[in-house]
Amino acid sequence: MDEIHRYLKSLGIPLAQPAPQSNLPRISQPATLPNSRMINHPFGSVCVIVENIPLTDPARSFEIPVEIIQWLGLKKPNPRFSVEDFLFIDVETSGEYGGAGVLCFLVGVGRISNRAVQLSQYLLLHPEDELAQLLELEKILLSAKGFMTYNGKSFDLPLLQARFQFHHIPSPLHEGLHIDLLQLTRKIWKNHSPNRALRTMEATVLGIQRAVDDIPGWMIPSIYRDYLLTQDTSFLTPILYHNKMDVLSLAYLYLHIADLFSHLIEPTPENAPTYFRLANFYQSIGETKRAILAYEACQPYLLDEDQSLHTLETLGHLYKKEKSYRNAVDQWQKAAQLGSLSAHLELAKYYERIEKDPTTAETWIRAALNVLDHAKLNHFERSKWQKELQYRLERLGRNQGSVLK
Amino acid sequence: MLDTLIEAWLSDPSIVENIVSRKHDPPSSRNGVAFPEWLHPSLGNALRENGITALYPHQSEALHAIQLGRHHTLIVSGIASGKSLIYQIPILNTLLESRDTSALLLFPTKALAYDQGTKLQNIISKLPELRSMPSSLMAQFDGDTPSNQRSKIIQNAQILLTNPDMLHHRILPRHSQWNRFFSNLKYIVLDEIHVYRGVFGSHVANILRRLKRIAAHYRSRPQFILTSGTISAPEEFAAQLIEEPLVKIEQKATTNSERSYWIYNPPILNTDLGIRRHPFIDAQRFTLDSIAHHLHSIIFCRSRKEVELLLIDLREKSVVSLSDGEQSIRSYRSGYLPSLRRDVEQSLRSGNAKCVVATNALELGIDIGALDITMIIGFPGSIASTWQQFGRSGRTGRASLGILLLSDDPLDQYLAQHPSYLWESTPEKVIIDPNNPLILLAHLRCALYELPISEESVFGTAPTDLLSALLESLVLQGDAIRGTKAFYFSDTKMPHSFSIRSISENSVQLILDSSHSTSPLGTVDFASADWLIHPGATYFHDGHPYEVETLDLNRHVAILKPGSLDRITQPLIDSQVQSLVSTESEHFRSPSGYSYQIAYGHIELWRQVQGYLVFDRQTRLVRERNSISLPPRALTTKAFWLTLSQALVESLRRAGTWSNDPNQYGSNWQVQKNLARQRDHYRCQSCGLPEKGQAHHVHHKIPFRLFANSEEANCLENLITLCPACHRKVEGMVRVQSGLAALGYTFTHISPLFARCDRQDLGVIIDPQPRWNENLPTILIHEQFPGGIGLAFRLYQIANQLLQTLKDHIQRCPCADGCPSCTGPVATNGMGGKKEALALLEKIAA
Repeated sequence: MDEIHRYLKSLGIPLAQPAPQSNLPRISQPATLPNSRMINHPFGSVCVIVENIPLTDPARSFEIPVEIIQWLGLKKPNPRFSVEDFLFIDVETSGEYGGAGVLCFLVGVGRISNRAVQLSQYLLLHPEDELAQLLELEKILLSAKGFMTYNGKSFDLPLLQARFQFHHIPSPLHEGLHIDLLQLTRKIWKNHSPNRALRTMEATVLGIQRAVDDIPGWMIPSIYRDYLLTQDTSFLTPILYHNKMDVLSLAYLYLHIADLFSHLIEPTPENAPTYFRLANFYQSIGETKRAILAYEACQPYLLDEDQSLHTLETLGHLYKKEKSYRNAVDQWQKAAQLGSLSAHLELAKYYERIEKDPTTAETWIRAALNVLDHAKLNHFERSKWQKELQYRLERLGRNQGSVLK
Repeated sequence: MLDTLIEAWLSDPSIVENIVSRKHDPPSSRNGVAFPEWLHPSLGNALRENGITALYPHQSEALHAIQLGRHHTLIVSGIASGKSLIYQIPILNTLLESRDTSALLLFPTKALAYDQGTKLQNIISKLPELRSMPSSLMAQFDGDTPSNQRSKIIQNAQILLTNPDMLHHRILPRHSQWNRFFSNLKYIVLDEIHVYRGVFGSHVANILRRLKRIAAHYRSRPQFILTSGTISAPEEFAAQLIEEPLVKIEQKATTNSERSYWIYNPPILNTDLGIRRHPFIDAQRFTLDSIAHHLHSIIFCRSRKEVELLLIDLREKSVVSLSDGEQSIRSYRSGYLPSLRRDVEQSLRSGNAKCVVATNALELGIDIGALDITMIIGFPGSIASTWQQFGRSGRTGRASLGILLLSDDPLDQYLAQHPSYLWESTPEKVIIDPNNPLILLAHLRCALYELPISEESVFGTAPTDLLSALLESLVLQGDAIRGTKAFYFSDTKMPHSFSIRSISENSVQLILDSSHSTSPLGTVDFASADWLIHPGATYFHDGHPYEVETLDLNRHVAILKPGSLDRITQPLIDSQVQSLVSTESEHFRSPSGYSYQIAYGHIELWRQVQGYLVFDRQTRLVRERNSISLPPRALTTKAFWLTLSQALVESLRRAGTWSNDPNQYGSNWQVQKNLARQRDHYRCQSCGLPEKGQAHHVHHKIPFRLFANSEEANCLENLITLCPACHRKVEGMVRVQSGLAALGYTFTHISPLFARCDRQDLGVIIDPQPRWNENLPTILIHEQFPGGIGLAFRLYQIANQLLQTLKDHIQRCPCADGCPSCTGPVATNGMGGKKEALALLEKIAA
């Protein structure tokens, strides 16, 4: 043995001098972690930390907004879901990339019920307890109808799934619905702030303030490694806090979105852009009436000229779709005043086809050509509009015969 | 055509007299055996549609072992023997019978995988049962697979063609993604296993250890099917690779086209000095002739530098006969940018290139079209390589010629004396050492990432004390933690980023700094950087010379500028032994009663490039010697060494009646001799003895023969006064030293043949009075890879046989006092030492 040690050392392989020093006793009960208890299985034990966190503002409705269910692509008849059927999930991993050696060493699971968030954190005190952790998790996951995550589609859920696969357990995640709030957030708060990180959303939308010493997520794997190598549970405290805040934020973010959908939040100049995106969202899932309501609600408050113009044009388009021409014309006229070429064109079409008034139609086309002369457009767009408007003009001329000459 | 050219060459005496040996393989017809009864009828039809109507006996035998015996099976056969059918049939047959089975096929190169994929697809497309299966049922998965196709392959592939690198980097560390594939894994095919030698093979053996652990985790027990080219003791090597018992099926070489092979030994120009015509000159003639006959040829060289030098020579010579010399004659080696390589491959396939000069980078796989002639400059180091390289011509059923052109290297000349060694296939063993601690440690870390390692679990045949020491080291490094029954991974990063092909993971980027701009030129592996691209070195690339301006080993960048064609450089490397520990040794007493010791153990040495020589490319004469100083590099590895006893040294000294003929020492000798005695106050400068009645001797510190003229040799600084006794001692040492040096030279050149490795894999140290080995004369052969991969141990085991071979070889050489083919060139180091080397060997070898 000594010979081997000498040789390995000369090859630069580090070896402890007399006996391995790092044979630390295993932690059986983490005394320093409050609210924790050990659940023992024949093949290990998992540490579960349970906390009931009252909601600052109780949920106003437990039903998951139909828009979200629609957005998930569920066909009618629309099933109804209560938020109590869903679990908020956030996973902390022991490594950077997904691979067989990366553990989901901490899984935070939250459930909204009775004016509070019930939080359970499933913590691995040693990698050898993973099977126990997963079997406990399996129980709670199978009790839910769906899951809400933040970027869980590409991170939390596949990683967790891989752990179940690793232990030959059929994944309990396949059973439920999955609402990835990051994707909803991207739709609703596009261009809202520099990024869509959960922390940014907390600060700018939810008004949640974390403790100043909250650790950044990227440090978590190496902090967990420090814990593993020292078995000092005080390393785990900031990770547990971080994970708890992530789960809480998820719940608050969901509630905020649900309130938006229920119009429980009044449009103001500050949140008008959010309503604008919400209207876009309605439009994308084919909810025309709701889209019109949302656009109308936010239009007066929109300060961004492009957004405002887009709103008027879209409202015109939506009213036209609903065959509500008077409202459509109102919107187009407002848009035309702001220099919208498409509004001019829509008005010309309206007078030509609906009102059978070619003269007014021609006036709008000529006005549009005038706008085009001063518009800031690139060559390609300009020539496209030029062609389109000339074509309209000639068509009107043909139909009118000599009148226009 | 080829026939005409061969006839012309054979009727030319200046060629025929240099052909040492010839071998001719007529196309052989083989008797067919019917398809086995268990063959699925659809598969039988699909094979017939692909033109396969019967099997060769060895195919039938192998299929029986695989399908009915359920044995791990090794198929050993030559080129074009239909060995791929032997694994295609069981895989497809099993798939037809049970739709969810999967098979993993590992190829040493992407190009080979591609070839096999095409062949398999041809059969699969004729199987109606598999038509409804997803298109990625069979898929190639490697570095070139587009990322948007990978998840489809992960989900659907059942026949996966990949390479050990991909298995190591992408599949094993993410095995849970592949759980469907691993759960149904029925076959693991390892094609062309003879390629898995040395460091690469040692890595592959460890990857297979990991693979088997993963398969067991998914409760599958796959069956191995291995194929190999001709090597010695293939089943022993295969069993070392997969660490399972297996059945060997051998097929004697057969060909479907006419093939001729020559061993060609260029003539000796100077018998005394043993100088032989350089094989480049003959290769050039053969190449120009073959181009004139509209034939395509490939020339294999042993080193990257040789490729470039021959390319330059060929392009210079062919300018007259070829309008587009640069495009007609191409080169191919590692270190070229991928775009340049693809371009060369393409021009070979299209036939635009008439000749390609290459290293063994072109030995395997890559489709380079139909070639007529293979030339190999110098024995490539192994029989398998020789046949692989010969096999690059004549692939499409056309006749072909292979010429092995020998250099004056001792190994080559050994083959000239023993051509049957090549023809009769008594090739070398493939040596790997899966338990090299550094390699094993790297793979243990990966294995731990993939699956915990339990205390009592085994990792192939790795010794348990070594395993536990290494696991302990991983714990110490924070990469692992102990559980109650197992070790677990505890690092945050995936530990798989190392390369399994080269010794050093990194390469140095070559940047060309021309007057206007800088551009990337190519790469050199980090391990070779010191001696290939040290500052001042001439580096050839695609036939053009460059000179290295700076080498930054920290940033892995070398800056080169256009260089001169006349200049080539050679680094001067200093090696110093720091420590030497023997783990095994044996004392011998020779028939003549002298004892010597052969030992094996580990060595720690420091090496440093301290300067370089500049040669004229045409004359190969030294122009200048420059000093540089690169930081020393430490190497701990395995070595074997021969230690001579004091008594043996004494007897050599006594035998050494060194006869100095004063007349040969030039006209000023008497004068200088007396001046030296006077300067030294007529006293021996070694023991202090004053002259008593008789004049002391005067000794040349640097041997007389090393000087170009006697004036320089006889300058006072080079002379020293010694009493006759001390002079005998000193001259004896010189004789021992030159004997040792000569023997060392032969050792390094012949040993690779027995260790089955490249010349660069071994280093030699000779020292007549090493303080690291009790001041006893020592010849030490060490491995170049940290930790060693079993080469030194192999040599240790056969040391006495090796000594005997060396003695026979030197005795047979017709030269006078040593030549490049036996104990080293007289011209380069000034002393042949042949007599001394033989005297030494005669004392110890029977």
